[in-house]
Amino acid sequence: MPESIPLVILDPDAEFRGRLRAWLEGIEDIAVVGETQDREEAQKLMASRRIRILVADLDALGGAEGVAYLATRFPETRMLVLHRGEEQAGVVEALQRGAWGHLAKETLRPEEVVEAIRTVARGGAYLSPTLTGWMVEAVARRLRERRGGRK
Amino acid sequence: MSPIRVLIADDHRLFRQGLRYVCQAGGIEVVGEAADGWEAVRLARQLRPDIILMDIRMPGLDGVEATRLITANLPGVRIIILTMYRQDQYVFEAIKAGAQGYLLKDIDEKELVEAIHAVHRGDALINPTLAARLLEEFRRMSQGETLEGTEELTEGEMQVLRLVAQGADNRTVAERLAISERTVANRLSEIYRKLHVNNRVQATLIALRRGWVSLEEE
Repeated sequence: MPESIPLVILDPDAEFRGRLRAWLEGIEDIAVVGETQDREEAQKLMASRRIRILVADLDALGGAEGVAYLATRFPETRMLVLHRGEEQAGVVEALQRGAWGHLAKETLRPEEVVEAIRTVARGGAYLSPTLTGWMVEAVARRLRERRGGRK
Repeated sequence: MSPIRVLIADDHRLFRQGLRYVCQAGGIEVVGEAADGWEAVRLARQLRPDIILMDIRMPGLDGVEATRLITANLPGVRIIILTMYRQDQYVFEAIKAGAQGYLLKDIDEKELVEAIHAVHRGDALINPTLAARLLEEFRRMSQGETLEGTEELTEGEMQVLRLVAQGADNRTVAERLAISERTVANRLSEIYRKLHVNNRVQATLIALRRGWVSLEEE
C-alpha cells in the first residue's frame, strides 16, 4: 500500500469542503487530516504535524501574499490553489510566489483533484494547458534574450 | 472528423514501430517515419503532418535543431518532443525552439494519445516534473524582472494593454478607445519597449502577472 499523503483543506464554503472531503475519503493514498475555513486554523494543523499538501482557496489564503508567507513558513507543505475561473492573474501570481498547482472551482472533477494532489506531492507542478502555454512563452522569450546576447 | 496525422522522428526503428502501433490503436494516423533530423525536416515539408513526435538525440541534425527549422518554416505543424532527457537544458532549448510538448519516453500509451490530442487542440503539454522546473525558472525570471524594474506605463498605454490582453486586435482597440490605429501601434511599441517584450502574448502575460488586467474584464 502506498504511503498516504496527509493534506489539509482550507476553504470558506463548508459545503464545498464537505464535497472535497467526500471525494477524497475513499482514495487510499490520500489522508484528509483536517478542513477549515480559517487560515490560522490551517496553520495550527500544519504546525502540529507534517502536512504535505494544502488544498486552499486563493482568497482564504490571503492571495499571493498569503501564499508567499505560508511557502516560507511551511516549506514542506506544497500548496494547490483553488480559484474561480476568472482569477487568472491572481493564480499566476500565486504560482510565482510559491504555489505548485491550481484548480478552477467551477469545473472541478474528483479525478482531477486526485491527480493534482498526487502530481504536486510527487514534486511536479499541476498547471492548466493555458498557463503552461504562457509560461513556456515567457521562459522561451527570456532564454532567447539570454542566448541572443542582447542584455 | 478526419484523424490526426502524425510524423514520427526517432533513430530507433523498434521505438518507431512501437509508437506507430500506439498511435494507430488510438485512432491516430501515422503518415511517415524519419530516422534523423534532416529526414524529419524533409518529410515535414512534404507531408505536412498535424503533429511530429520528435526524439532529441538523432544522427546528423538533432531534434531540437529540426524543431527550430520546422517551426520557423511550417507554423501549422506542432511538435511534441519525446525523449529520455530530463535535464532542464534540453527542456528549455526545445521550448525555445518552438515545441508545444515535452514528454518523457516512460509515458504510457493512453497518456501519449491524450497528449497528441491536447497539442492538436492547441494546448501546451509538459511532463509534470518538468513543468515544476519550468515554474521554478519562471519564478527566477520574475524575480529578475522585479530587480531590473520596468518603466511605468502611461494611462493611455494601460488602456491599450487592457484591451490587447482581452484579445482585441489593433483595429478593435482603436475603435474602442476612439483613437487611430497608428496611435495604437505606437502605444504598443512603447509598451513592448517598456516591458522588455516583443509581442502581444508576452505583454499580456506581464499584465496578468502584475494584476493589471484580468481575462474576464469588461
